Amino acid sequence: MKMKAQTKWGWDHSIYLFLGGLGAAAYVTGAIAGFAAEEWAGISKAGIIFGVIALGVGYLVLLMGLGVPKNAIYSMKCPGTSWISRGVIIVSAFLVFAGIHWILTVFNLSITLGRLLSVPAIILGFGVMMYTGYLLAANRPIALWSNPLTPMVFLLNALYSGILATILVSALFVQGAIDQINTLGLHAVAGGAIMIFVLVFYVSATHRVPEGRAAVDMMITGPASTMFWFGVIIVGLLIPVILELFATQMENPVLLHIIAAIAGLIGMLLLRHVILVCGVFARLKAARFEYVLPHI
Amino acid sequence: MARYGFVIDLKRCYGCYTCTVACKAENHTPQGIDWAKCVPAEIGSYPSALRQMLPLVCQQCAEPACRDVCPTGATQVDENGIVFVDPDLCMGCKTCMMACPYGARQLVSEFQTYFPDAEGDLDPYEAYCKKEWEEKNGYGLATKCDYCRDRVADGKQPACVEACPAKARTFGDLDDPESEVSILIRRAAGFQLNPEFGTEPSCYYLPPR
Repeated sequence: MKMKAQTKWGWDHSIYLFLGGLGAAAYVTGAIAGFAAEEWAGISKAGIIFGVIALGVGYLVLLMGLGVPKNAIYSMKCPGTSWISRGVIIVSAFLVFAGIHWILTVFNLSITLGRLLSVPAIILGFGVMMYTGYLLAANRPIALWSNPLTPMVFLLNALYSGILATILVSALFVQGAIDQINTLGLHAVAGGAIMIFVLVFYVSATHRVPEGRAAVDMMITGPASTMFWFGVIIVGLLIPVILELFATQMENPVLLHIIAAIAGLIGMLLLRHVILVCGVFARLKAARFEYVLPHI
Repeated sequence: MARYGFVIDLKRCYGCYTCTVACKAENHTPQGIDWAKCVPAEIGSYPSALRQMLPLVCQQCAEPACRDVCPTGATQVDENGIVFVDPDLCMGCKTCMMACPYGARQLVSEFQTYFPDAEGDLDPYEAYCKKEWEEKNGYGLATKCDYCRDRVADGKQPACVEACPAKARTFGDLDDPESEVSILIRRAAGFQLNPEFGTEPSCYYLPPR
């Protein structure tokens, strides 16, 4: 009997998960660049400003997707067991430190205080990038998610997305900033790491149970395969490397850098969405019979 | 204090969906929401094919995954082991729907009539059900079966147990070794669904033929 994937978490959740990870990683990229040499100042500013805004937008998307948004005020009540509670606490703490740093950056105020605040914000930022992976991994009936590697996939995805977003914003608004970055190396190394991690480790770790195999089939050859192969692998991981290879031959390759970054971001959003929509539930077993859950 | 549980005899269930209808009549669940379900499965092929119904209610787990993932504390367990939802706390994040291995949690976004083509006011019974649902639950919540807590508190059986024409369902205290449910589980090799998830369901099934 054909197994079914969950249908309740859709694009709104994918967008939140994507923007949450991207925002935290862009901030972390910017904040770390802030400790580097003076010529990185523009990139640092771009990452910090865009990162906090992206996370804020993601948070709003999440709130709008709730059934009863007003009850979100209770969402920190159960940090002992619930990853959403833990996540809300981590994100809120992150927003306090990163938010003040954002104000200092926007208004060109104390750089020293900004750097001081960025230390806890960077640590919390990694928490923001990873907690969504743990949130999914806590759902035991869904083998694709309930996988110790899920938080790692989400961390890699967030880091790559955040760096790409910082590159994109820098290329658009900061003159000459993009010249500081080895974009070809970044796309090749980060994209390659994600591709190997997802295709080899993640897929093989999921392959042990029938619902895991069904999820992988759905991703590799089933209804989500176009999104996975074309959206994630070709658009998100291969095209940026090809564009950056062309960029090395050009005198003014800013437009190619921008297109490569956008393609990479599209791929990372689709990777999160593919993982969500391929969340196949375990069948119920009673004696010799196996049942597919309705209403999922 | 008791630990209430179900025993469902798969030999007796013939899939008439009376439990589903009785539950809807008792709890006024809106269209698309069935707290008591019957799911079919088939094995083999003609002439040796077998079909077996699986009646599903919330398994009222002793270690409920839906409670563990709930961020607001809306999913709670009462003193009799019944897992219920506090509608004033649930924010409708749907995490419980992902964590429950038994598909017990269902979210109602908005009211939908059974008769979308009908003109004029709602049918009086549908209007009554809508009002009752909105008073007790509302929309945007991840709702679930609560073993008809109000009926049980009044000393009655859950609606699906009382209505089952095949007497496939038995309700009682799992902590009492002399209760009918405990005896059935012992004598007829009662089993839990998917115990590998570690949720310790309070709903047991007796094997099919």
